Amino acid sequence: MAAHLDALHASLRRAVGDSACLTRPEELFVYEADGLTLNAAKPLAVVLPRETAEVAAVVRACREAGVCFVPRGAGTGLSGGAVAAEGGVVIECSRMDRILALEPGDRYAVVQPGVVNAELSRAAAPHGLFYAPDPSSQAACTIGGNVGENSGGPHTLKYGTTTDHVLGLELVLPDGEVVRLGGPAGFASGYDLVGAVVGSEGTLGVVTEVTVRLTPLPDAVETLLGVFPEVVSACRAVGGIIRSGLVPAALEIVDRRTIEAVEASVYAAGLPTDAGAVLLVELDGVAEAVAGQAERVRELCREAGASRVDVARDAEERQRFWRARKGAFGAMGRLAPDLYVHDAVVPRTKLPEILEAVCAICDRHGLRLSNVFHAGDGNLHPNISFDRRDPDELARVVKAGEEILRTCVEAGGVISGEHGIGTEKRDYMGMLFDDADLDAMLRLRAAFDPDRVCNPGKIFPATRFCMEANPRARGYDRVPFE
Amino acid sequence: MSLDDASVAALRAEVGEGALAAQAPVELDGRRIAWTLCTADAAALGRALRVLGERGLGAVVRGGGTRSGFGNPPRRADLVLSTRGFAELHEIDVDEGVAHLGAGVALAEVERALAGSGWELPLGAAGEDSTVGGGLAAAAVDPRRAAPRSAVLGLTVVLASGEVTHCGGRVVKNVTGYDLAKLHVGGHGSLGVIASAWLRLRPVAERVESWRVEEPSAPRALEAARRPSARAALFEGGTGSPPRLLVELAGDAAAVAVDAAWLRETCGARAAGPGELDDAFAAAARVDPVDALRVRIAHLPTRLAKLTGGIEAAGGRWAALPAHGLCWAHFPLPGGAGEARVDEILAATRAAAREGAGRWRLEAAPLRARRGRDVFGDPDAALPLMRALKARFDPAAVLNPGRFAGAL
Ligand SMILES: Cc1cc2nc3c(=O)[nH]c(=O)nc-3n(C[C@H](O)[C@H](O)[C@H](O)COP(=O)(O)OP(=O)(O)OC[C@H]3O[C@@H](n4cnc5c(N)ncnc54)[C@H](O)[C@@H]3O)c2cc1C
Repeated sequence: MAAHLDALHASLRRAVGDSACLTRPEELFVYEADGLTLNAAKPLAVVLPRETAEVAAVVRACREAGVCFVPRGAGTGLSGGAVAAEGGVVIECSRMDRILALEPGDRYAVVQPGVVNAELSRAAAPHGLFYAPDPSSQAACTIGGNVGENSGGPHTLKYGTTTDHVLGLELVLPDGEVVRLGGPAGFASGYDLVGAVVGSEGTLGVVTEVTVRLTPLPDAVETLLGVFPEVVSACRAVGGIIRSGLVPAALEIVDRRTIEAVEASVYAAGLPTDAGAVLLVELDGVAEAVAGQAERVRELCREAGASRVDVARDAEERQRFWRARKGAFGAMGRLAPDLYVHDAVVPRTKLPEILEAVCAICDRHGLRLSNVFHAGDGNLHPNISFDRRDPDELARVVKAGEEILRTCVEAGGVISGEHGIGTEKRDYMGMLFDDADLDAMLRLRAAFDPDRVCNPGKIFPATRFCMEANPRARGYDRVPFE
Repeated sequence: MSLDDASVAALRAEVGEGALAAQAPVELDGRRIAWTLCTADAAALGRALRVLGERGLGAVVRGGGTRSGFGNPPRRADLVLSTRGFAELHEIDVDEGVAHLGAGVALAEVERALAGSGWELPLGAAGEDSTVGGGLAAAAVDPRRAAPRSAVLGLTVVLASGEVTHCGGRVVKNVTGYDLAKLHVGGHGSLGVIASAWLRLRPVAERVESWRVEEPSAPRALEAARRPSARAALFEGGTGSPPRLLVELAGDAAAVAVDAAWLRETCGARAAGPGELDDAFAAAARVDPVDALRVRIAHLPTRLAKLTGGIEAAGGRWAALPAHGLCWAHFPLPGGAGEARVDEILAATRAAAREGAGRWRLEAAPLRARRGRDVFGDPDAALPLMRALKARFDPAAVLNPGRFAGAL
């Protein structure tokens, strides 16, 4: 085994150079987890390629050595996607960080996967453009990771998720071949393979280049902050706004416990700590239209029970409002050593009852819950603060998480809106999909990665893995494995 | 090719006597397909697909038939699988702005059901018979709705293996598992039969206005098409008359007023009739067998002017959706015109696509011009992956065999 590993390390070094190949335990330690620190696993090596050809060489080296590999961006993922769940080599793309082209006239950019999300918008800004998907982690997460997870963000409500903004991909396939899918002009003429790869959590190949759509910066932005006595009335306001036909750029709710945490932290934004919840509404577009829309939103918030609705007077105040939202995760770090950020979606009309149910679940398990979420999309983020050193509390966190997901599914929802399934939720896939549905997904998997070497151990329930490896076991022979 | 008695009996055993009939033969690419299978029961359709696979038979999947002119000629066509049996409007949730619709429901019927609800469909109809499933399978583009893929929240799909599968869901944001819906939207029924779809509806605009601009330059047309409230813009030329641009502004009344003023002042726009844009698009892009070749070229928006010169030089007229980088070119192909003329047109098309850094496809042409050519355009680098997908989803090539890109 040791000789085998030495040979692997040697061929990886040949592929990317010595300084881009990490093999020492203390170097590998940081790659044992991503943003979900509960499911850790040690990789055999980590490589940091700079070019597509190096990625292809790494993949070929892995194939020759018979080991699997895992694409990774910044490792901010919250479902264990970028972790070597079954061992193997982590291909970290953060050094592939060049913007290769930026075409303002045709409104697209070609980037390497390691470009940080916010950097792309910064580069596009002088041309009056931006990259619309804006995960709250955008200062750190990469476009490759965004493609992996089909990431969204506060502004998804109006602008859509990553999949709506990716026009083309270059992909190193699990056999080491390089293929181009789609392109800047869009409208590919066969299957929408770009659409299939976005959100596939790094299981169909390593993305080495991404062609993205750029969006014009809006002329005007209005940001409102509605203060509500409790979270349920804030949800009612969200329902009213959706029903009115308005399409705000963002509709975000921050609940009382989060407000308290934020106000006690460096992110303090001057929010009323006696409020049950605040609703952050952002409207953008033509100045003449946005002002009128803001007035309607204000009325709808009042009708739903808002005690106050403030409109940001300037950019500084707008940033202050957003600080409460964006600093929420950081602020929660003060509450307990660990934070479990959940992610599920329900029909927006069900938000009030689901939030009550989620609170009841956490109360029953004696857990500290706070909610800060993309209300306009029905995308909940129940956050549980806990201490993993207490095994009993950890067990309750896991149990409550499962109950929350089940509650959301029973309400017509799904178990992930933006963080993906990874290792975290793969055993809950059966809540939504039956064997036939999962088989269909495996057909796609098998077309790209018949040998299951690219990021194995993700998305599909663990109990299916033995079946995947041995299709005929237990009568499982429906997917035509060759 | 047709069904022998044993196949008819085997299929009827699965779907019931009445669901397989030979009363309304369908003409397709010079074939007369006698048998049509139409059921409301997805599981029964699944069983029928298994029978077809076991017997080596091929089926043409069909919704309203409004787009069946597009595609490569089928390799086998033993029967038609009509989705019209999936005729239920399962649910329209006006509070959520989502709808669950049977694949066989006519888009026109959904529009009627939505009237007054404050919501409208995210799919465009090619005709009164266009169905939900057909519009999705064809990834049908119209001036107002260029991206049906983003309107789909979830699908129920019957696979060739007989399984009734689900992907996505009913909520507006979802990354639970692979996004298989993307493969079926635009998959032309070659990977499975869509039985129903959850769609995200669009709010009805507060105000809609139609404007016409005579003889704008291509950059000006693009600028107009990109105005914030421009919901649709059609730019056409090569017609013998000077080029013209039709723009539909929609949305918040204040935003529409700003753009209308811009159109008037910057482009000298005049008010147009509400149906003008649709009529022009229908004339330019409708897909039915005609004595003409119609190609669609996807291109970079700023390259439009380079494309259109080549189209006109080759004797074509064109209509473009400038903001989306889509251009349809129409070349007359009188009965007497031979192969050489078809080659000439396609060479001009290829050159135009190259100029536009995009791709072309042959959307409508008489059978003789399509034979031996791939109507989906030049071979795609991803063809091996597409082939692998087809092999995984439909190994016996039951579904629309030969009709898809690469004759899959
Ligand atoms: C504080 C915080 C806030 C967050 N807020 C949001 C939010 O608002 N919205 C949201 O959607 N997410 C959010 N996330 C989750 C996370 O940031 C996103 O999922 C992000 O897209 C991950 O990017 P990354 O570069 O860190 O990717 P990683 O975590 O490294 O990888 C994510 C997945 O993508 C795959 N991948 C990475 N690079 C490639 C590649 N080149 N080719 C193929 N596959 C690849 C990996 O295998 C993995 O499955 C948040 C996370 C944190 C910590």
